[in-house]
Amino acid sequence: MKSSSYLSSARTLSVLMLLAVYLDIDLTRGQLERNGWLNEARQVYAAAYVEGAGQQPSMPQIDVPGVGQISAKKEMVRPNYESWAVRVKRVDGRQWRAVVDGRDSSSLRVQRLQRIAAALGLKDPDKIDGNVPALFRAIERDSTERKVTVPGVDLAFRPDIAPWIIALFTLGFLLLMRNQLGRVLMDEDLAMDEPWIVVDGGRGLERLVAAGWLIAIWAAPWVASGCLLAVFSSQIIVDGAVTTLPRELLACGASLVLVVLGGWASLTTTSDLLRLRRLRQVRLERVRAGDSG
Amino acid sequence: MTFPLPDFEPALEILARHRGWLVAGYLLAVAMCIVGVFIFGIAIFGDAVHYATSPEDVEPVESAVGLWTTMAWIVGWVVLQAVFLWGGGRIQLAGEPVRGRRLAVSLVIMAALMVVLTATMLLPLAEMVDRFLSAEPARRIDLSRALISWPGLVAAMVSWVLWLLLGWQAVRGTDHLTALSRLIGVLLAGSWIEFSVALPIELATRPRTKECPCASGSWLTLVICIPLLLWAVGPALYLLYRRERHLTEGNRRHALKILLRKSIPGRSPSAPPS
Repeated sequence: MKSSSYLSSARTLSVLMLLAVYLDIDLTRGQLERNGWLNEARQVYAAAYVEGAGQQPSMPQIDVPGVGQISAKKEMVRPNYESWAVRVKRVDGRQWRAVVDGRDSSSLRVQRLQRIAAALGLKDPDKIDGNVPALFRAIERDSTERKVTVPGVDLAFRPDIAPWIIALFTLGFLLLMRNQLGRVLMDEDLAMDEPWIVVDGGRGLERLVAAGWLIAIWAAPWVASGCLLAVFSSQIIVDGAVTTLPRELLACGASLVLVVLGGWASLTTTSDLLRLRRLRQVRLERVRAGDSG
Repeated sequence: MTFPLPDFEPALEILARHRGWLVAGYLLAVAMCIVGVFIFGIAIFGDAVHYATSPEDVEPVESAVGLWTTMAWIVGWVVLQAVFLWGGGRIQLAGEPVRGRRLAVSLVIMAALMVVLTATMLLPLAEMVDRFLSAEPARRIDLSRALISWPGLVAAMVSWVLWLLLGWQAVRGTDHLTALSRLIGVLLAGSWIEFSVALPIELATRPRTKECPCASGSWLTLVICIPLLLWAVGPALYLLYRRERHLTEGNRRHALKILLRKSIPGRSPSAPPS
């Protein structure tokens, strides 16, 4: 049996997986920050939208180009506290809701949105018409059109979907690696003609690199599922918790399954790698002993 | 029916080789936690992650719990570890299947702690979807009240029995050391999974509960699962020591291998001299 190609493939997969997880961490940090800004922008827009509504309990639904179908009504947003809740259904079907904070100051809205646009990296926010709707449309467009490319598949996904895809791919990579390592372990040669520092690095810096790589493989699915949970939680906040109970149950169940399966796959894959490492080191020891003898 | 477990021997071997460092690290972590609990109360477990990530957001609050109560909690925590390990008598290294009564106390403790972990697993997920103490009355599911209501208590009892049965299946027909290792393995895995779910949710949802951190489900879960995780590591380390002793008693070459590894630099532990 020629198992070298399996080991080589497992090595490539581990690199791809770690790259994807690195991208995931980067994406999550960025997305949490962007969601914070977007949340503030939506509150500013909602406050501007309901300004002048007076004492009426609701506002009729209207279609605002670049934003979506907007409706607003007064709701009990906290116990004993009624306020305007603005609900928006975007053209792509996604929804969000923002509660208007009574302390909002109308004079500073444009400056706040310009600051948000600059923080989000929008080109020349000062050149966008200095009014709330135009600035908000630019911010919303940026959040709608942003895509992230997942390494290994070269497909672009929405930033709130990408962590799910990366977590799934991490699990898939681990299962493929485990399968390939199983084939290598079944082989008498133990793929000795294919070097990999994770299973060969015995001393000094090589040993450190091997330990670091192994720990990274073990941690990868935990990190990927953590990123997924963080981005999902943040998305719920920025969308104003408009999700339905079945969808929430589905998301909770799916994320828990990913956490458990990913954790188990990483534990068993790392264990297989350690077993292969021990067997190969015994073999290398014998080779060295034969050479010196 | 037995549980087919993969071979974790190589990983255990590495952990056993560095067990001295592991114990030192563990004792240091426990000491730091005890000091933290005395100063800030049990809230330290929820706030520690924020001290590490965004210390400017944390307002330290002095513990409202009395000194003696805190002492009682810490002593209880240590005693529970001891009872788990020695509750059924001295650990036998003979390698024969252990009798059920020797494991009864450990099994009961494992099942009870798993019930706590199962119940608190719901809290961070409810926090994630903004259902735990939600500001919006229509979305709010009062989990903390549901868990101490009659249906909640019945569900806890059912869960306890299920964990007992599951634990019994896992340890049936095994020797004492393997049985305890499996029970502690379940607790370690459970608390680690809970921690890895609660931590990212807490970090992401902090803005929602900044003014009152204890109103967060993920914060409450961290307060419960970090001490439990730390609790489970203690017996696991002890069992690692017992495992090494068992291996040494069963195979004299094991001691020789360790001696060789420590004497000849670079020599592989698996290649004893001919």
